[in-house]
Amino acid sequence: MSNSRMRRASSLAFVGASVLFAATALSQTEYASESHWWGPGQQFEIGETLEFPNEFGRLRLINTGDPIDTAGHPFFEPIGANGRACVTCHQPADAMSLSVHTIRAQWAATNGADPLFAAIDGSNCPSLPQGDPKSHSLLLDKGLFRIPRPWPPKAADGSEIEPEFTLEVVSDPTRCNLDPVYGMYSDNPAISVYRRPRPVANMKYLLTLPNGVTPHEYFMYNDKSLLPKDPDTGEFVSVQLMSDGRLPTLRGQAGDAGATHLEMLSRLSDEELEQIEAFERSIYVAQGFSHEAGELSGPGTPPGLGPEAMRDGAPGELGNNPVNRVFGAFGMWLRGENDSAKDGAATEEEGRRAAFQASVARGANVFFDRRFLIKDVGVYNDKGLGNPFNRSCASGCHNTVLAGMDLAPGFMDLGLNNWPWNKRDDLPLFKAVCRDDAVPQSYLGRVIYTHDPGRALVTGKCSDIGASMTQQMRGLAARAPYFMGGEADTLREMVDFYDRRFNIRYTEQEKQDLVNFMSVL
Amino acid sequence: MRRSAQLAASLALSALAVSSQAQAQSLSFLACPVAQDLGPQRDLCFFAMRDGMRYGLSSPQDWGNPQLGHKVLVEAEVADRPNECGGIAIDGRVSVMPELSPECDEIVPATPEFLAEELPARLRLSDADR
Repeated sequence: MSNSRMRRASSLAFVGASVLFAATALSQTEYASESHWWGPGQQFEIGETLEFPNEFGRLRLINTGDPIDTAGHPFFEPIGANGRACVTCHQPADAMSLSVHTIRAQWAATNGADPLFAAIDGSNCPSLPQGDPKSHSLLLDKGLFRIPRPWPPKAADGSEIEPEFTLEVVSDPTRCNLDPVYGMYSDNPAISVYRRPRPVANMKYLLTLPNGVTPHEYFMYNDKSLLPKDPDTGEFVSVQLMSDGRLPTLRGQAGDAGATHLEMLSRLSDEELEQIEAFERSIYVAQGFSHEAGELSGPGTPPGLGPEAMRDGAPGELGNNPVNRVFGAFGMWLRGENDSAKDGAATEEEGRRAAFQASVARGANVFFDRRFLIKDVGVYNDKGLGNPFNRSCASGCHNTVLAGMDLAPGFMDLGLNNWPWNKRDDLPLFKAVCRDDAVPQSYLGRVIYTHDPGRALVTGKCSDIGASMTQQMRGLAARAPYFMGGEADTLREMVDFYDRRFNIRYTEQEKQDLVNFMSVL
Repeated sequence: MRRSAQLAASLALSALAVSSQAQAQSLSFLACPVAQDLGPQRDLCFFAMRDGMRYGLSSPQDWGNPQLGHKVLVEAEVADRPNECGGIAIDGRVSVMPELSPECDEIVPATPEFLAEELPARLRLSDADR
């Protein structure tokens, strides 16, 4: 019996198709003390529905495929040389991403010995002493994995792309970009950037080409020649899967992750890739229960909540308020505590619930309707929209129905990666200087200080420096911290970032309403 | 106050210009676009000043909208139609210059005459309509 099989046998833990995992309401204390870690090689069964507690309630996962026995399944088996599986960084309890809460719990449980903390990318740099938690500070503090990208960039066929800019390391707190083995001056020159793992669920929303996008010469989806093609099918594909769009298909991403994050010594077989893709396409996640608002799907609840809405919704639809609201209508929850009391049937608990639901509905309306000046967002305002552009969260950058990504164009420099909007002491800082004949970054010019060049590490284009793909907004309650670089530890910090960045001047009530709204997605 | 006076003067001049033009007046100039706030429920519009005249930069379909932070090259003719964005309407091309011009950073607050403009019909939905 192999080691993995032995681990599986000793940790046999079936979860039946109709049994909800930890479905009973757990208090926040219980959530904090319980581990819902699915280790590589552990055996579980994924039936139709699973639920996992989190700080705000419970995340619900729906499987639209056949029941899955994780034993022997390539997504869950430790197929890498470092003992990791795909599930290591895509935990069901964390909306198929990985929360820093889980990461810290796993460090505490294993004293840092879990394959999650593998030197290759689970530490700030493989050359650092691996037993020291300081060597894993970006993962433990912000949930960030090291992503080494070849420098100069390489195309999908391995050929070198001549970048339009030079890069200089200004500061190297992780000591990896100047490392003699892993740095940009090594024999295999690479830029190390640090990013959060994205949720591997609700995939149809990320993989479907958009419908209903107004034709515009600048939008990738209207000029399909700008889109990549699926190497297997030859069809044009979306680029929303990864933060820098470097791999547009699930198979491509899985193969790349196997070779890098899992340190596989051989390639995934076609059969394994098929199994992984089928699994990833079959699961939907969203918050299913809120401690404060109660059940999030079924009669009396806003139709866009819960994973059932994700499963049943149409992908690739542009949500333009007020006609087509991105997350559907919330009007039925606008009745507040006072209305419930007037009905004469409200207990204190029911009143609190009604008040919270009303806050969620107000937050939805702020998200949908409250316009602000979106200004100086590279690869966004310059796509013909104008600078500034007076739109709301939903009609501006989070317009994909039910999922909340930007449907088109998608990539943008919100200010999270580049100075002056975000300055981080814990991340490397690069100085990019663009060639005179290159189109400059629209609002930063030709000399840019960046913590992560983002899309530009794929295209080599000056104008792409700092741009990254917007993310889906489901299951947020289960997967803090937020943004590609983990800038926001909480939903409130996320709201505060936007408020600062765009000088929105949300009121305290609006901020809390937005937090409550996002906590039920 | 000064802004209102300037706007009134430019509107008067523009009316004169429109009414008196027998032949198209050609324009070719580089200028900072200025964003005109139109209130909380509408996108902004843009205009540019040239020799004391205000020209609307309302965009035909194939233009990208002007951008603060960048000058625009206006190559156009005065059009025989009502003012746009509080300025003389023009036909032609407005090209956004790629290099940064940080001095182009003016947003003019919405004034009553802009706020009083009728909203496009599709935006006049009540909550009940939604």
